[in-house]
Amino acid sequence: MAGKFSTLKMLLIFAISLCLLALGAADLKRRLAITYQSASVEIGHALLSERDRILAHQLDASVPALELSSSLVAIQLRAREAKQHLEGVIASSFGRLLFDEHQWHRIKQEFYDEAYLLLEEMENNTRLNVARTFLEHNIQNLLLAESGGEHTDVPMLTELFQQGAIETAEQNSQTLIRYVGLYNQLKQSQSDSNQIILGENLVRLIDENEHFWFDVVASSSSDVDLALALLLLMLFIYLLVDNRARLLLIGSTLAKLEQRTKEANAANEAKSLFLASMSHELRTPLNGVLGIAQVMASGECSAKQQREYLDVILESGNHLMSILNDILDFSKVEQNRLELEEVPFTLKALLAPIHSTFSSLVEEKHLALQFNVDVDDQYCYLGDAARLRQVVYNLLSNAIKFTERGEVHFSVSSGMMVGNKRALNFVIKDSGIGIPKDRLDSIFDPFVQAEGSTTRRFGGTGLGLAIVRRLIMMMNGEISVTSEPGVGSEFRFSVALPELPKEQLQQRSLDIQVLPQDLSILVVEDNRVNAMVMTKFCQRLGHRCSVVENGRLALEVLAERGFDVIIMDNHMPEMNGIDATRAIRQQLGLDTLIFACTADVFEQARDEFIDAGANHILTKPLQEAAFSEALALFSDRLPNNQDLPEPPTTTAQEPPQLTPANDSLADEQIFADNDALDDDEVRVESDAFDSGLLVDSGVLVDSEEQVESQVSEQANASDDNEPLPEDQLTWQVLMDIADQEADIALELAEAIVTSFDEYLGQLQPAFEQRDWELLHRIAHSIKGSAGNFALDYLSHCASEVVDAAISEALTEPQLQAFIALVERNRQVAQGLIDQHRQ
Amino acid sequence: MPTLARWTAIMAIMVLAGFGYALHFYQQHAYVSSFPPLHTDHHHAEHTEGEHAEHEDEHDDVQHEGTEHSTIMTSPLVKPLRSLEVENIPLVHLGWRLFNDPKLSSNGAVSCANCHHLDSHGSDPLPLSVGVGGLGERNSLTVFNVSNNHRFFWDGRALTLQDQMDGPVHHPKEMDSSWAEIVEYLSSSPEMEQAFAQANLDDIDEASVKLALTRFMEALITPPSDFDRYLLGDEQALTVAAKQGWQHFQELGCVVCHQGENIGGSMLQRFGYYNEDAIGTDLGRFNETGLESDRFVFRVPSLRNVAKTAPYFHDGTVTELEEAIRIMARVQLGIELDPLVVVELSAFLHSLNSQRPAILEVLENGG
Repeated sequence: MAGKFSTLKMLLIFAISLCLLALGAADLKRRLAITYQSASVEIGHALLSERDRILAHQLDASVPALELSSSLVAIQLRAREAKQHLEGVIASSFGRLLFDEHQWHRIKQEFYDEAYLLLEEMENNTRLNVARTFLEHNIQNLLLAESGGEHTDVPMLTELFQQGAIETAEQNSQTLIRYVGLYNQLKQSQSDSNQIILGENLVRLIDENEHFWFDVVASSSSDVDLALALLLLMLFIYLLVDNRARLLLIGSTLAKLEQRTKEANAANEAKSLFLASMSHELRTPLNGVLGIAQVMASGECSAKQQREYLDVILESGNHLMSILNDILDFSKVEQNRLELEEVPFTLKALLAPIHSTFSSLVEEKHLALQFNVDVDDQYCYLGDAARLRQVVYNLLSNAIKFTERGEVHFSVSSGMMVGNKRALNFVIKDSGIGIPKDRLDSIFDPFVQAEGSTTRRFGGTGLGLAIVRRLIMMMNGEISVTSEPGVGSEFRFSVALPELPKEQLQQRSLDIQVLPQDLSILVVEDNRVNAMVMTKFCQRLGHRCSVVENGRLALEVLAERGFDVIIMDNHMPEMNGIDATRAIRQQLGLDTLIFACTADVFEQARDEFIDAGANHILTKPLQEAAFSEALALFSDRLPNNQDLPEPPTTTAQEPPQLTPANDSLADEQIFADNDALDDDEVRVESDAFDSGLLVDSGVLVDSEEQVESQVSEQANASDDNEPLPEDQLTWQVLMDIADQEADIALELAEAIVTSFDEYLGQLQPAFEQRDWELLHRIAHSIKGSAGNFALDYLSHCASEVVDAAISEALTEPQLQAFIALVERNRQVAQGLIDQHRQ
Repeated sequence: MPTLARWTAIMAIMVLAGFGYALHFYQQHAYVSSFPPLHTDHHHAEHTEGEHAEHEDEHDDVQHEGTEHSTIMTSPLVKPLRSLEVENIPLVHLGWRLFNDPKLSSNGAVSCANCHHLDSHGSDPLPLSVGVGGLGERNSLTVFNVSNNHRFFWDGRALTLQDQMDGPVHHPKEMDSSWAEIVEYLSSSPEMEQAFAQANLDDIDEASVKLALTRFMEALITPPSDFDRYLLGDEQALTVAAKQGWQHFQELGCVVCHQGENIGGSMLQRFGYYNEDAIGTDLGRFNETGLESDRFVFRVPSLRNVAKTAPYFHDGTVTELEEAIRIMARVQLGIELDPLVVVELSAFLHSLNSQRPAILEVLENGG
């Protein structure tokens, strides 16, 4: 638009410039013509006046002949000058452009040439006049003498003489006859000359010339006017166009602003709506958390009740989490900050976790879930598997959520091949409540659910489908929905992804979170509590776990049988982790994965581990995310489960076959026996939903802290009233580690009491003997345990003692304080045991 | 595609350039005359006559003041020479050098002064002068007082001195050269270049050469003759015979053609009204214009220094002044003069003799 206007403006400016130039040219022509006009008028009038003077001279020679002659010369000089100027104009190329050359040649030729002739004629006339005067003088003299002076008029005398009226002497007669003949001749010449200069020629010439110049001036003046008018017109048009362009610009700017305002208003409305629904959404689960927490805080409750309450809190927390995740996802998608990855994946790997997740859910609701995968598994696809899985997950969870009875049908089929891209068609069909027709269009808008009441009945943020649609659009796919209220809904979407042969699938892909399961893991850890925690942890992730106490024992075990992964602690008696790792690599020549697990935050220890041959460093306390990531990182070196996992069975969970040893928890009894290790391997099928438990526990502990501390206070009220350290062992932490098994939690607590008793017994003597090495080891063990049970303060004090022991600068008061702290923690653990044993 | 602003600027420059060219063109080609305006009001006869009368009265007053009761015969047709102050001496000096420079001719031997003798009377004592190509066709006219003439050459074909110069320069029998050759010669001579620079002439070209020569010739005004002194009131300046001759000169009608400051020199007149036999074969102005009325028409020559500038007439065939007077009376007036009248006329004509122009002394003495 602007381009068109500027082209038009340029054309107009060009036209205006041309008009200006034309104006200048026309004005130049006019001015030039005026100078020639005035010259020719002057010359013409001079010619006329000169003619009059010459004619007057014939009657009365009052004007000297020389003056007449010099006037003629002056006129001729002037005419010649003007003619030369005119020739200059005609000769120049610009002059030819300005003027009609032929006309000018004509006027030059006619006017000046004839003017020259007339001037010659006038000159001639003058001299004839002079000669005639002399002749008259002579004749007069002769005749006057004869006629006696009667007549003085020469023509009259001549007439009389010719008629013979005047008698003359013989001698004079001859002369007179000759003179009169000459006189008549001269008279004739002069009258001829007079006729020429008096003739039409001169007047016509002057008139024509003046008219010519007048016409030239007039026409060039009208040209000037025309050019001026055109110029003004062009200027006017230019102003109009400019005005129009500006108006349009303003208009489009206004429209843009209006659009922006609309968008802003819409966004604002959406935000208000969102806030309204969010406050409801967030409030509901929050109420659950707070309400239950208050109930728990208000009084004592049984372990069973507590378990139920915690379940409610967990569920509410998870719900909150999913809501927050949705919001986060949605805002990412909305702000286009989400970037899709391009990683090869197989459909099977994509769908396996979904299938396993929903199978149990469907079973709980007594629905039938049909899972049809009609895609050739020879191929893998290039795309963002996690996001695609999220889409399927959202749609499926919606389908299940809104379906009370009947079945949920999921199918994938490969469609057309376009280029190197294969269309994948997904269909999710349910027999749920359906969506009213008038809401179908807006179902994918954010914060919209089919009905306001839907939110109340089924919960949810209303963001799920919006996210789904955005994600599919980002993948250049399409989604559509058909639905009939009361009968069910059918969501169809398709995405086109590049298809590759399966060989190109890169095993190490991190995004494909198909973690290997059912691994055999060897935990090398001297701290019994830590070992227990790790065992539980691994079991929860679905792996089998064996524990040995130190590096040397680990070497013995490894010499006999292989493991998939070894988790190696560093500080251990007999043989530390680094040495053990080096021995495994060099003496046994095994390339088993070794994850070093250390509480050392210094780079040096890590480097030593890597140098010794460890594949990866994990930081204590062990985090699931870090562990899973590590497993994923090395998934290509782990046995992969090729088939879709069987639907997980929640019933398969069995209590670990740890040998209960209430009186003596000797390590040897439990771990040293190799045969027993096999029995200890516990397979735990875990529910994917609960996998976030350990991570979430931190949050939960915080929220529970108050409750728990009240409990602890009550528990410790009888012992002494001294102020407790900021953190202390809580039942919740134990329960989490024990996977909500109260028995195991108790075992853990007992293990803590036992090991702390042991350490307390060793600390003082070791200090007295200045056995820094032993002090260091004990403090380190305590630090490791404290880390596992979220006892930050204890962990901190322990690491101080470790440092002091290394530098051999441990002081008596510091040790005493530390002993007191350990003692207090032991007492708390004992309190918990007493409290929960019932 | 240029931006709008750039395009506007381009167009503005184009328009300004166009206007500039138009202004230049106007200054070059607009007709502005270099001559004084022509008198176009002569047909108001009364006014003109009145003006003339006034002039004459003034003239008379001047004369009367000094010469009360004088018998001086004045005529409105003959005026004393006006003296001239030479303003630009270097330019005139340059003109003098050019005038005397024979290298202006094709053979390097003929200067202007060859035929116009500056040391005597500005003309040639030979009937026909000798130029590059041998004898010329007409008698050399004097260059003294030449600027008072309106027409030049015997046939009056040139109207200005500048035009006149073209004649002898190009004539194959005279200098047989061209302005280009002259300019080339002058440009190659350091001496002349210096002279041009001294005369404040930037370029050596046809116009500057002509200007220098013109200014030089304009400066060649002779000192007052006896007759001039007489006209200005000195009754004793003329002899009785000369006074008688002046009387005859007017009464016979000689003054009708020989009038003005130069006593002739401007008008055209047919030669030999009364006796065509004496004329010879030269058709005069007819050769130039081809007009029948111009047959035998010649310019009326100036009579100043006429006694010194023999031989006479266009073909230089008459060597005696008195013979020339008689011929003129015979062929132009149709009368045979009384010998006494011829003597008296001759005495009058001798009173028109004067010294060389004073500027020549100055120039010959080195400026």
